[in-house]
Amino acid sequence: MDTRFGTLEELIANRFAADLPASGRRALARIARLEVLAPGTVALREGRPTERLGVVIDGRLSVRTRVPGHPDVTLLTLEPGDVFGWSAVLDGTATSSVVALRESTVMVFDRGDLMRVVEGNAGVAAVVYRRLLKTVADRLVRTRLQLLDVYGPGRVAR
Amino acid sequence: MIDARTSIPPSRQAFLPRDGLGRLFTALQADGREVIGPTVRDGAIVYEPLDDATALPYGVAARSEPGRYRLETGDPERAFDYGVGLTPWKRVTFPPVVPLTTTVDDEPGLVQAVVPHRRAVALIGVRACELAAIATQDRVLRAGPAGDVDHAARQSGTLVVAVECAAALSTCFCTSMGTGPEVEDGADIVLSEVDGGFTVRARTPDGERVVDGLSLPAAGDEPVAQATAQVAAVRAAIGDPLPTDGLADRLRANPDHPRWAEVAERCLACTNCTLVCPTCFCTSVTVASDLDGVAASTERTWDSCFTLGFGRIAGDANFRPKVADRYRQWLTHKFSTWWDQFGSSGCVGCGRCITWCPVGIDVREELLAIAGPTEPVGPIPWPIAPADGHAPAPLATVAPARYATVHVSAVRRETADTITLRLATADTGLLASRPGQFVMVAQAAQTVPPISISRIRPDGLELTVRNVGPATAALTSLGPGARLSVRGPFGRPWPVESAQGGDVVIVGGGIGLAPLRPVIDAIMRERHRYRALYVYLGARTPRDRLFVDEVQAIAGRTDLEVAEIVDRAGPEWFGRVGVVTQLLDQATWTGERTTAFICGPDRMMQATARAIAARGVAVDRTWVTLERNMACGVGLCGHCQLGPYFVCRDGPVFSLAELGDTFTVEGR
Repeated sequence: MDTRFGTLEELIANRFAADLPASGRRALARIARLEVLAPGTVALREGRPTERLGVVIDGRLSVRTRVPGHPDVTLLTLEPGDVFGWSAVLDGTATSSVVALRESTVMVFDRGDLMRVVEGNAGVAAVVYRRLLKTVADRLVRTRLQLLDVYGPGRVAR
Repeated sequence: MIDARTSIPPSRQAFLPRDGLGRLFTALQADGREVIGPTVRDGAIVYEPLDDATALPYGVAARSEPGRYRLETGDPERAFDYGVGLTPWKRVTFPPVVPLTTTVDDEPGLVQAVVPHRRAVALIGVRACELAAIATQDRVLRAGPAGDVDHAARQSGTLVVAVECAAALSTCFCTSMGTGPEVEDGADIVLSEVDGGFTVRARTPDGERVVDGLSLPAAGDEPVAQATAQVAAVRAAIGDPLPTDGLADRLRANPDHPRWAEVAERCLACTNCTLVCPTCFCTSVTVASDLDGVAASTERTWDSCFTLGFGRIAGDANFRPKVADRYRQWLTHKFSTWWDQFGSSGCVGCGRCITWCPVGIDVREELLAIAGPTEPVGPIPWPIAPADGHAPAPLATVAPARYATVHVSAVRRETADTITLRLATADTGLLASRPGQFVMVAQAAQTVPPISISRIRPDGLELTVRNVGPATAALTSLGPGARLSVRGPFGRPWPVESAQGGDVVIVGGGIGLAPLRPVIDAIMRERHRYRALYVYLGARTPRDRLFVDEVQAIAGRTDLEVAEIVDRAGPEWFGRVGVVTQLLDQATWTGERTTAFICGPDRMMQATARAIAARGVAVDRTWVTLERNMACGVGLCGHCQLGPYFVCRDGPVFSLAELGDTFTVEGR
């Protein structure tokens, strides 16, 4: 394991869910692993089952969507501390692709393992779902701002 | 309150017999003055140039109610029993149309300000409330940083003959506003119409000269007593229909009162109220030109904050799109924020807005419903005055009405729709510009847009212009060698020096980087005076980034941190994608000693301000520069009003502490 970033328990506390009690961190650490993604690696593919939840530890990934007949459009980029694959806890279908833009390190939880832990531990579930809700809510707010920036009047030459 | 009659002994009051009114006219005309006074036209009392006293409305009385006005038969011996006329005196002192600029004959493309002409006039029949209105508008139009030169010229040539009211209209409420019915200051001569004639009081040397020339007898006790009784009866008849104690605070504390929506349902936004209001001063500029656009002129015309376009800026943004927004703006300005700006109410209680409202909206009734004595006074949504320590900008060293000629020495294309003009000038005023200020850029046959200064150079300025309309389209098509007419600089600058000794965060969105560029320049010139510097920049796409080479150059330095993000990108872009607040989410600094400077679209600035506050930056150290319709640059046209501020004069740079919730609430 790459020890530059600390232990998995520390990473869970620092990058994912600071308010998890120690037992919860240990439970998640047991099912977590670090992966190093080379530039261009597809961590999630749009429309395919989302088999894992990821947390960016280092590097930069892009969240992209397909536009038939055109190159993929990058919707946002993910930086350390950002979460991807939140749909793993819902229907399990990726709503967009996640691609490494540079060499990146991610902490991942396989969907089956993750669901087993959260369904067996209400305390962990509350923290994890709150964290994912915040991820989705932040993206919603940012998306609104992006829409305003792209389609709104913008600032004019004052 | 000083009673003018008791300050002048009866023996010093003269008596003008009724048939002597013509002599007063003759004396005023002999003084070189055009006499303007009341007369009947189209079923109403209007103020117009009069040849002689026979044109006065003898035997005419008036009845006024909300949405209704009728002339009636009155005492045939009396000329001033009509209350107030339809037309306010501002038609004389602040006419509906005034020429502003013309093109320079032998200098194609350049414009020059029209020099106003002093015109000697005498106003006869001015009421106490109208005197207050003249004084109120005078305070507005003489306020800094530059007064209205045309108004000043007209005022200097005006002699005022007031006539105290002997009859009240049902729409009058001067008593509540403290402006009448007794005539106090502001008149050169005061008349009171009594049996057989007028008592006459000269109040100024000019007035004394006119009155002395009439060789009038002393008034004696009886006419003076009758005049006093008449005006006392008027006061009693009006009563106190609008208690004003605490009204200004209650009004600003109730911006969300449901009555605003109710009155907006009735209001036609027809602008009648503002046109007949004797203190309303909002104006716009119209442009006229010959067909080839070489010879052109501009005029200042009355406008109204009730028009849909009044809060509109280029790019079709509108800061007060709803009638409710505009009604609240008007009423709140009149009775509340006017105090912040000019130290008085903006209403004098003449009642014209009630009379001439086609649907009969009565401001007294609306104010009592929204901000009456029983309405709660909640938190005041914005502070009374700008925060200490950030005084208004120093006055421009040039007269702001004067245009300086500048030369375009270079043009740099920044993006598909944005260029930077490098302007050469020796004008000391322009060269004294400071970061965050703007200039008004005039071209023949175009409106005059305010443009932020994007760099201050020893030999001139740079302006970064985005093509968003005809005027900016013309600017973005200029090439080296072109000449422009520019006036300024205007506005309050970024308080860059106040950040010395601490960390600085600069956040720019899109063309919002342009007014921030001089801040970066200023800090980089004296880098040792500042601690950490963080620059966060957002743009729509990679192709929309401004000053790319410069940003890359400073990003390579080790003594500051630069991060960029774009809203939308293709797979060829390896930088960040998202909104600028994401850059702040990634930051590790905390804000105890930090000053933030933010510029971009309003919503971007609001989101950034929240992210900045979450990092602990104080609201009085978080600065934004606002975008409003700044048409005059000096706080005279009213377009850019925001709460108690004119953005052009009191801003455009504000701290969040100064703005309060006006920054985030729609329609302010």
